[in-house]
Amino acid sequence: MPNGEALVFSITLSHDVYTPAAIEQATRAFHELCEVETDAEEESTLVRLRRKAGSPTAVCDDFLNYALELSVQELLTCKE
Amino acid sequence: MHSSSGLFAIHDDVLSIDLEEGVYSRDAVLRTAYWFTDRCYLYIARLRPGWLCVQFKLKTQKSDPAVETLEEVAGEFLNSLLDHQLRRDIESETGQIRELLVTKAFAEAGVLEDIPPGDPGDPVDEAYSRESAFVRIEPAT
Repeated sequence: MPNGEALVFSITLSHDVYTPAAIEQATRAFHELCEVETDAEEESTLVRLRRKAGSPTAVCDDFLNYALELSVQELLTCKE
Repeated sequence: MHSSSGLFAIHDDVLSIDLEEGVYSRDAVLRTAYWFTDRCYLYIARLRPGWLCVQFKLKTQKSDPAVETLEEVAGEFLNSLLDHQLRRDIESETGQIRELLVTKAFAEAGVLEDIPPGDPGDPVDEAYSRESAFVRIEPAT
C-alpha cells in the first residue's frame, strides 16, 4: 500500500478486482490531485501515481479506495 | 513495526490478510471490502492464483485512544466476510425456491400480467392441494 509520505507510487491492480473501467474513471476523477499513468495489460494494470504539490498525503490511498468502490459497484451490479 | 498473529500480519501500520478463494469467494471479499472503505484504506491484490491478499490501513490517527486498532478492524472484517459468504451460500442453495414462492404469491394475487412459467402441478401446488385436502379436526368441547 502507498506510504503517505511518498510522492511517487506504483501499484498493480488485478482486473478481476479492479475493472479497467473503474481504473479509468478513478484516473479521470483524481487528475487534479495527482498525475496518474496507467499501463494496461491483459489481466492487470500497472498504475503510477505522482502526488501533486499541496495534495493531501492520503491521495494515493483515496485513489485506491475510489477505484475499489467503483469496481465493486460495477462487478456486483452486473451480477444482480 | 512488524507483527503476525497467524491470521494476519502487520507491517508499517498496514495489516495484510491472505484469503483462499476456495473458502471465501471473490464476491464475498469485494462485498465486505466495500463496507469498510469508509473506515479504512483498502487494497486487494492477487498475489497468486486462488488467493486474494487484502491490505488495510486505518484512516484515523491511532494516537486517539477512542479509535479502534487495526487488529479490531481486521477481526470485524473477517466476521463480516464470513457473514457475507454464508449469505451467498444460502442464496445459492435456496434462491430458486424463494423465487418460485415469490412468483407463486404474485401469481395468486393476480398482479402479474403474464402467467408465470412452469408446471401448475409442481411441488408447491402439490403441497398446497395436500394441505387443503386435510380435514380440520376441531377440539372437543
